[in-house]
Amino acid sequence: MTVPASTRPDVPPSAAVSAAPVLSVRGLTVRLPGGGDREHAVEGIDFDLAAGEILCIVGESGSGKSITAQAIMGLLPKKLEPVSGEILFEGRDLLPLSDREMQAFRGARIGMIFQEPMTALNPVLTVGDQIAEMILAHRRLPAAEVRARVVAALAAVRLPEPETLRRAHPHRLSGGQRQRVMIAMAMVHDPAILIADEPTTALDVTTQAEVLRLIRQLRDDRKTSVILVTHDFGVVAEMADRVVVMRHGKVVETGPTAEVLGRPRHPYTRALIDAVPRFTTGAAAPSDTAEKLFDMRSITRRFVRDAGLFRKGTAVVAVNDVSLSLRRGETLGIVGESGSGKSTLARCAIRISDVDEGSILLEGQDVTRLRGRRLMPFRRKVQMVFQDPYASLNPRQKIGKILTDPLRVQGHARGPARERAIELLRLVGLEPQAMQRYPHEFSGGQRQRIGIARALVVDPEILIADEPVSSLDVSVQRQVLDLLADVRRRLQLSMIFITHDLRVAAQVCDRIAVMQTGKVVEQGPTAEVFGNPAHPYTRDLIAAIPGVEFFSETVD
Amino acid sequence: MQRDYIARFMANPGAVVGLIFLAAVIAGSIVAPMFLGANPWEVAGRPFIPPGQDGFLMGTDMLGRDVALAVLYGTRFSLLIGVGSMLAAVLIGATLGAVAGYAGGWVDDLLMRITEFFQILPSLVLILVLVAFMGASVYSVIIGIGVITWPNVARVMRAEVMSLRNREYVEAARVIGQRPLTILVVQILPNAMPPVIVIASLMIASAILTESALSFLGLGDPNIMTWGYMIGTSREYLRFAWWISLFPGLAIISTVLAINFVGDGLAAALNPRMEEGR
Repeated sequence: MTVPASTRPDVPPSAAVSAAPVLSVRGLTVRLPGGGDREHAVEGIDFDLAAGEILCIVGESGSGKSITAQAIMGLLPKKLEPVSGEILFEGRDLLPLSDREMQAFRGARIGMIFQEPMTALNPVLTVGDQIAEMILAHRRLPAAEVRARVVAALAAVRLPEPETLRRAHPHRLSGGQRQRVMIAMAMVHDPAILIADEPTTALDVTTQAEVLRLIRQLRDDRKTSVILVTHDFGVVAEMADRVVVMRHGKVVETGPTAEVLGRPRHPYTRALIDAVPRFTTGAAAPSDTAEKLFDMRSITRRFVRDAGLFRKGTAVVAVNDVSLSLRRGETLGIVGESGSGKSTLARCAIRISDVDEGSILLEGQDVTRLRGRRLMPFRRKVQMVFQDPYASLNPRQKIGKILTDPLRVQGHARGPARERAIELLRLVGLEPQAMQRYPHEFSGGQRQRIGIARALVVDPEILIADEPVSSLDVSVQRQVLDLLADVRRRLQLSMIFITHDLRVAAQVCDRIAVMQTGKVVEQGPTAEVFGNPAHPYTRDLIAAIPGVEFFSETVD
Repeated sequence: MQRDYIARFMANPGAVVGLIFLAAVIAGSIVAPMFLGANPWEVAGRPFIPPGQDGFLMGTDMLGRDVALAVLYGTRFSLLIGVGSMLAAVLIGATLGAVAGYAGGWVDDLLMRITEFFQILPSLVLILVLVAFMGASVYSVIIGIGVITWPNVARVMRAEVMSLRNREYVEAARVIGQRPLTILVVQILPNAMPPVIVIASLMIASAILTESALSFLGLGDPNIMTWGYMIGTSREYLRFAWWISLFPGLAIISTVLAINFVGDGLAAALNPRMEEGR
């Protein structure tokens, strides 16, 4: 492997942290445009970044963590205006600098990577050209030299065959590879600081682990200071030397990682850490004697891609010969990464996607080919909670209509349907007045409660939940999971719970099925699958959970 | 429920002004004959009287007819043709586009090939043939313009429906057991309408212009006075009698603008989360 000339020998992380800060943020205050729910986006932010240190800024959505990162890079949106404070970098205040003056720092002295590797790269340029552009933005170099540096940069982020890869367009690369290219671009001028805003949020857990490992490796090799913005305390436990916890635009707590995570002083920090799902199994092993309520036998689902009038197209097998069954009263977890086929399987199970082979049985009755009116009893007994609370409610319908429609379709009269809807709103912790309002008037967590109420309004026996908490903040996630557990117990529901988050699955599920590329590679009681994984892929997934050691140890 | 829509429409000053303007124009075209005389074809004075002289507010044309009266009369048929052909195009286009977008597969292929067939024909030639075949009348002009413009609506509608078809709330509607037609009408169409409303309001404008092209070629209804007819016949006098084409031109511009404002207002009124966009 080619090693760039600038690479320094390995330095242990503890020794890398020296006393003088590379970057000091002092009293940073950014004003929000009028009409918002608070006056300042961030207020009185103070922190130091030491050389070779990884500093995590952690907080929920709306905490101001991204605004802080953008202020340092001089990339604040136009309507946001810094009103006071200073950002000292190498003895200079960056805050009053003009855009043109900032350009000397951005990319050269301060590198950055963003959340979405899919949109951060230009689809019509090769990755090599994009890295070359980055080099030439700050230095005039002969073409051969630029090419050598591009190859070195790609090699430095452990991308295979950099010489070939530099001629590839972004669409040929996986998400993780694209994020590596982004890191290569950010590191090409050997910056003093690397700012990463949720760099792994869009990535799968195993890819996330690799990217985090790479960032740490680069820090160790080059003594780069890293500011990592994240919402995930697992990532903090995994990566950070020091932590800044933010809430409502203010720093609530800052300190070394072990201290903040181990002995949080602020109640908010405490609450956030407590809300992180632990990778421990609470549920007792389910009884095998309960009847099989829902049975999927050898389900196969294919999709045909690129078919045309004169082309057959290629078949992609999304779900490949999967057999799973759900016993009365249990929660079956289906875990896997994106592309594993778990969502397709859920769509087949709820009968909004056809199956190509196999059969689905509800209480012994074959429902695989039922349609229209004959499917209505199935629709009453099996319901679904969707992933995205912003997309799963029709923006033009009031909550009252959204909640009564399932009953109206089943043939109930308007009056009783409304009463039942109000009953369900109360059950999920919302006021009856919500009936008159539109979805956009509610927060993400409230919307997901409405989504749950919609699923429960017909009094189903089985609930299929497809990533019901993955787009929610961690504290809201906790509340929604508690609500699900509560209704499951009270209404004696059986549940199929689909998630990519093994921590959540461990908390919620009695049994687990692990899916990889359309197949179930392992299934069994949760304690068994996670405690003593038989398949190497399961072991990889568990090892990739960020902060798994820390958050397993703290459990009593 | 209804009050919400009205309130949101009223919150939009441009839309309210546009609506008032349109109402005034329509009222004017009805009331005008009572004051200005009954027949816009009748010679009222000398030819080419400039505006403001001899009591002619907008002057007279090459035959001595009152331009103001003709503009007011023209309102009736120009609006009738504009709105009528827009409705015809939206009815055909939105239906086919929505069905194609929602059904997908061979239904989509078939409907889109039909749409393309209409798109690749030179539209002016097609409408000339249609109007010549049906005979020059207001209705043949409306049908002709509707036939050449519906493919645009169909394409926009299909694209919207396709992007909405896989939204989670549509899947949720399938999970509760709503029928496909109900889902299309209740869940998808209200969300797909805003761009259709916008192009529909633009289509009224282009229909008025297409009609003027037909009139210019002598294929309009010979018994009706339209703005297009006025501009078409007065073009050759533009250099010294500008008013004959200016006033119907202004009428077209202001009416089209008002219709666009009202269209924007409607799109906003139908959207409960106005400030956030869709």
